[in-house]
Amino acid sequence: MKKYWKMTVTIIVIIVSIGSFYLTNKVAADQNPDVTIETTSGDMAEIKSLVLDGSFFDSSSKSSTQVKITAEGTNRNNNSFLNRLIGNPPTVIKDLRQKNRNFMRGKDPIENLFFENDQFLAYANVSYQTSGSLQSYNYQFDISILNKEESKTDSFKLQVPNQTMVEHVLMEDVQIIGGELKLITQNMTRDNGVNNTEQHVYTVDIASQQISGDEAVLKLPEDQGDTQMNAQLIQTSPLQDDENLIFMVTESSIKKDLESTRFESVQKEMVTYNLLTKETTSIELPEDIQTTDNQASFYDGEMIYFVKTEGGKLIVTSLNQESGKEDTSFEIELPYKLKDQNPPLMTIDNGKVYVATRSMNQNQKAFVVAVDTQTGKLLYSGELAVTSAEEMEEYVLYLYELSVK
Amino acid sequence: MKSYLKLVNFEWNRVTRLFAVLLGITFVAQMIGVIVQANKYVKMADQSINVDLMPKAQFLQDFGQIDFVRVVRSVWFMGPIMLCIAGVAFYIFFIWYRDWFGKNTFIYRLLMLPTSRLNIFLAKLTTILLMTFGFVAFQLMILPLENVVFKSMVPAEFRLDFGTREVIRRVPELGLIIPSSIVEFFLYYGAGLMAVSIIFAGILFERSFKWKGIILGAGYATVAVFAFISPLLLQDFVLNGFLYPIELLLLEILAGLIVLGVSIWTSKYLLKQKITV
Repeated sequence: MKKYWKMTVTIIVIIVSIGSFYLTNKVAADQNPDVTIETTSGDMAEIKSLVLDGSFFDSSSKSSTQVKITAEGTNRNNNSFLNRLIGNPPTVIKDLRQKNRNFMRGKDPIENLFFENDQFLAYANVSYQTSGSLQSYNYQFDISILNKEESKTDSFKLQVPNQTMVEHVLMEDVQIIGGELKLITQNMTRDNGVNNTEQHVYTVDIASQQISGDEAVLKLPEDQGDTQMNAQLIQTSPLQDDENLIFMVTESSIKKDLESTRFESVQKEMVTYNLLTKETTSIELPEDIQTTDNQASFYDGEMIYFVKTEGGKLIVTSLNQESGKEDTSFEIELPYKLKDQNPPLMTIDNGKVYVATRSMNQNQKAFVVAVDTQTGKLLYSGELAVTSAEEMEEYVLYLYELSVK
Repeated sequence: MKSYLKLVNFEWNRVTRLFAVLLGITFVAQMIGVIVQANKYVKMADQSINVDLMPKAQFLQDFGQIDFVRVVRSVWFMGPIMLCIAGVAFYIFFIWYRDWFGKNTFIYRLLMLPTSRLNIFLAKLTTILLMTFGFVAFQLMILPLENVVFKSMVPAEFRLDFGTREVIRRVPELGLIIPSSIVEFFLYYGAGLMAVSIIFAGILFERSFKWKGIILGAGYATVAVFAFISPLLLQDFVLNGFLYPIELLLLEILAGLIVLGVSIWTSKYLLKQKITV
């Protein structure tokens, strides 16, 4: 044994030194803090299906941890190699991947590109090729449809019609309605030197895998001088049938002052398009909605909600989609102060509007509230609390997704 | 097993002098680096505060506190690390060629040993691995020591303290040789082991077929690298992102193990059948 001493010493040193480094590393990772929601008023049951996704950043150790906060507590996902590799897609995508692992392969993790009902799970995206001069060509729809009953997946590609005019195509939403696949896109086109933005609805016959219809729902003219038009599709959950598409068409103009140049909306109009009857109707919006920026809009298949915060108040206006009439509208004082420039995370689900602040640190608290959209009653309010094994001097918690399971 | 250990011990004893010299250089140079950097800062602070009569708060605001990361980023610190890497790279070749071109064609005696010739190959591979891990282990041991010296030289109010782990996190170059997680440690050094096995096979091609062998060896290395990255190429150009990242990682590990296995097998074959002295 004596003649092996150099080798033995080397091996022992290697194992002890490297081993202890990674062992203490693991201990340090286990000391990450917990984030919990502490009720200040209301019943915690009101937020039991709420999920807050965020990342926790400890300034002293420069380490960040992915956190998933629910009424039950925190689920931590430290920033380990494997977690970074797996990535952190939106909750909807994560659920879809769990249930349909094979179907979800090679699909962009973007909610709007998916549609699911009892019978089908569908995905559509636009692919194109780029040539050397960065010109894009050969626009195609990549479509996959999973028939749940037969557990059979059909994947096919279709050429986007009118290729010569197309400058770019963006997939905005995917729906299956009346047995047909509807692809809602925003097309940038160029025709005789004039640029246009058009909202298209392509109808795809699922059985024959052919495009059977192409409707230009909206055509927006080119930017003229100081004014600019844009149309935004109000997104709904991909797991929901929507007979109607709702576009918010905003005309905005450049406002210049000493400090900045920005766009300010001048006029807003809401256009609905019925996917079955192919009818377009426009809805006049109430005055106060027309003139405010910075508000979130939601559509649940029946009502359209406009939510914003202003001076510590939460203002919710709802419109009935069919009649275009204002239904309910209320404002309530939030139990916490908010800065107007930084709108909080908001979502509406099942008659409740949920609001949560985007960040918290050692000096500034974060909160969660749930409000009934019909009555405007504050159902729940709570604060986020950080508990950690060690004293932390500085930390930041960023919340980036608020979703309802 | 016994003869393998004997051979490793034998190879290790042959490299200890070079190894010890490199460790010595590393330790001395890095210590000098700590002292030089800390001194430079302390002198500057002394000059500003005591001679130019700048208020302490003003000085800290203008020049900031000094931290160990600044020391690590200096050439005194990174230089020896580079030297050790170069040393390992050099020795990967030297460990074979010294046996042919040394004083008394040593390979002749090695090949005559009454043991599988594969053991010679494995012993040399193990030696390279021991050398590499030895440097990493040594660096991990002297980092806290250097940190202590650094702290003793700069008064607390002028410095920002980081532990070894934070220092490594803040210097990505250091993170390459000391990854932050054990999984990455095995992945990085596993890939390194595979690369060394490819180079070894290439060297044995050259030793077996001389000039023609260089071309064969280069060809083998190209094929091996291609085989190793083939899952990545397939994922991007053929499968269009079909595989989930975790599956791709497993396939990569598998490809790496296959390349390692084939390299070892090829080397065994060459050592047994084709090698010339």
